[in-house]
Amino acid sequence: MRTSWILTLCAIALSGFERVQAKPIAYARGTTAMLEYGGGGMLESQIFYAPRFNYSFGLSALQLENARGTRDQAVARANYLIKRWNLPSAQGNLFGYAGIGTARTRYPSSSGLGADGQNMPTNASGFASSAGWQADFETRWFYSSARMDWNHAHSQSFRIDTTQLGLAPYAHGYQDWATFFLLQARHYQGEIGAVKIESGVELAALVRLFRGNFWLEAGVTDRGKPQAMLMMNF
Amino acid sequence: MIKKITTLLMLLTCATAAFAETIEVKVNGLVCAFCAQGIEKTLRAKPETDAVLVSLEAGLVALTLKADANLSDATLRTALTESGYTVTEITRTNRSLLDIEKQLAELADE
Repeated sequence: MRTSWILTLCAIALSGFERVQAKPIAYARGTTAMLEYGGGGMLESQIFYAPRFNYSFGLSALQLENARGTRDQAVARANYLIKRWNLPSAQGNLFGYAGIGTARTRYPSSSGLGADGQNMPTNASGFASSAGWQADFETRWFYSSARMDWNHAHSQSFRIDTTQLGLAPYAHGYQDWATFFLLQARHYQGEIGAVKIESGVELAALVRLFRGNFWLEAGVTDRGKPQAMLMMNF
Repeated sequence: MIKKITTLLMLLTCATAAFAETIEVKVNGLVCAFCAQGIEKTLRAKPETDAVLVSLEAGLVALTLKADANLSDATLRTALTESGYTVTEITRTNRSLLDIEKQLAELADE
């Protein structure tokens, strides 16, 4: 029972980390603002400014909440475009990022968590860090990406592997609404205290729409959780 | 004499306007609206730029300049490279942006 609860909490917590698969750098001298919602009580907001096309920096704030606890995390983050491949009708990118900040976890005493004081702290706060990379390849009708994220905060360490494959029913122009249908696969693994966590592969079906400086992505996972992301560049 | 020189200058000005130069740049890596937006923003920020047209379909960036303004190929190439794209060809033509837009629309309809 205790293990299954931890796994549940972990899965909810993990599902909120760095889920955005969009590019962390839009364009030189551009600001990117993102807001993301995940079913199960995840809300994340991020803002990045890119002085040049190959790097950006900014802030990321994340709140995860369920019936038994809340986790808040704020991280200052830098993104770097390691390599870009420009082809006549395609583009490939390799990004890396790293961030540091603080995280706070609160569990009401009635939750019974951490009762033995060994595996889960009742309340904890402290240093948090994250790092990862993303590789993507896209055309006007095809999108693919692979991403790996590492997160660490006071006795909790997670790794999330995500891949996305998408197809567009038509090749969009600059002034058109672009539409992509995406299939996402995600795998979580990590540790909370001394407990090792490993999920199966979670699938999600998503629809992505973008035009001009506006981007919307929404869908649902095979576990019935909705997820949505709104992004604007200016 | 002054009248003749004035007329000649006026004719020259009109001729320049009529054959205003359009710079057409073929670019690799143009695949999404954000790419186009970034390029448009970069070029519009240049004081020499009058208007910009970006076509994802053709991988083309076309721009016209303000009167008496000039942008060298090297400056343009640097601006687009620093925006994250690869310039493959720069040509200077007399086609208007409207003509280019029409031609691209026709090609898309075919």
